[in-house]
Amino acid sequence: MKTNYRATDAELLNQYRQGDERAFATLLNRHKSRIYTTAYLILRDKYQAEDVMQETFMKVVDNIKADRYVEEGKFVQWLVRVAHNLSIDKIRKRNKMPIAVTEDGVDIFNQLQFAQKDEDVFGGKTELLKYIREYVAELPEEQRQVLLMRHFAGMSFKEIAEFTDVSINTALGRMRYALINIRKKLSKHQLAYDRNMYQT
Amino acid sequence: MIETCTKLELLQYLYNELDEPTSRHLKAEMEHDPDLRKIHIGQVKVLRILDSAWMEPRKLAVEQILAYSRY
Repeated sequence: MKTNYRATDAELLNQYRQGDERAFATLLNRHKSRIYTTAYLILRDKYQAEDVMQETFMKVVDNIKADRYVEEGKFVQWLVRVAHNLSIDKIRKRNKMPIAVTEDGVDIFNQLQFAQKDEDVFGGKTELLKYIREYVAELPEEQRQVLLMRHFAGMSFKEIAEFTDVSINTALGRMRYALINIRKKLSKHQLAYDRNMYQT
Repeated sequence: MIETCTKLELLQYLYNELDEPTSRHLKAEMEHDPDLRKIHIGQVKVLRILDSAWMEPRKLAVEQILAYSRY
């Protein structure tokens, strides 16, 4: 059986369900970077991000082999949701904080402090790259979540709004402020950026 | 003064999420409004810089997933 690299995710999942391991390899290659990057920008630890990526794709394998995955044309969203939740679980464990919601039903993870940055992971990278990752990780949780889901995970603003249970304008507003905050940090560090090119 | 809704639409425009008539309207607005155009260019620049943050996992981590996926 020949794997079609232009096949949709749904087609590849179906081929893998029928025993075509190359179809799964194609899916993995297609999405591994977005899952790894998303997890890293939440966790700021390359090893834990790899753990999350592995656990996420192993869940895919388990679900397909057990015939539990229901195809609804939203494979990427499902992947991102799993990776996001696994990443948050790791932060909770790391911070040894209980899982809880506020009286308003707001997930307590919004108030979690992020772990100390992993100094080692930036080794050999450019200064700009180092700062960009730091800036994303330092964004307020709500802004960072939208930025990760839209820019790195490839979810639409409508999907993000549904995922985070807010209006689409709220999701867009959070993204706008995320970009404004990153721009400000870039300007502050004078990293090849023309501050006159951007207005708030 | 640029309306907030227009600023939000700019983000959808960046990600090709606007319908064609709204996209055309926004493009026309940008041609006549230098402030709006500056915001757009600024957003594009930030997104391009963000693209540099993409990361690749180690080959070993990927191979372990592939090993797990075998029937």
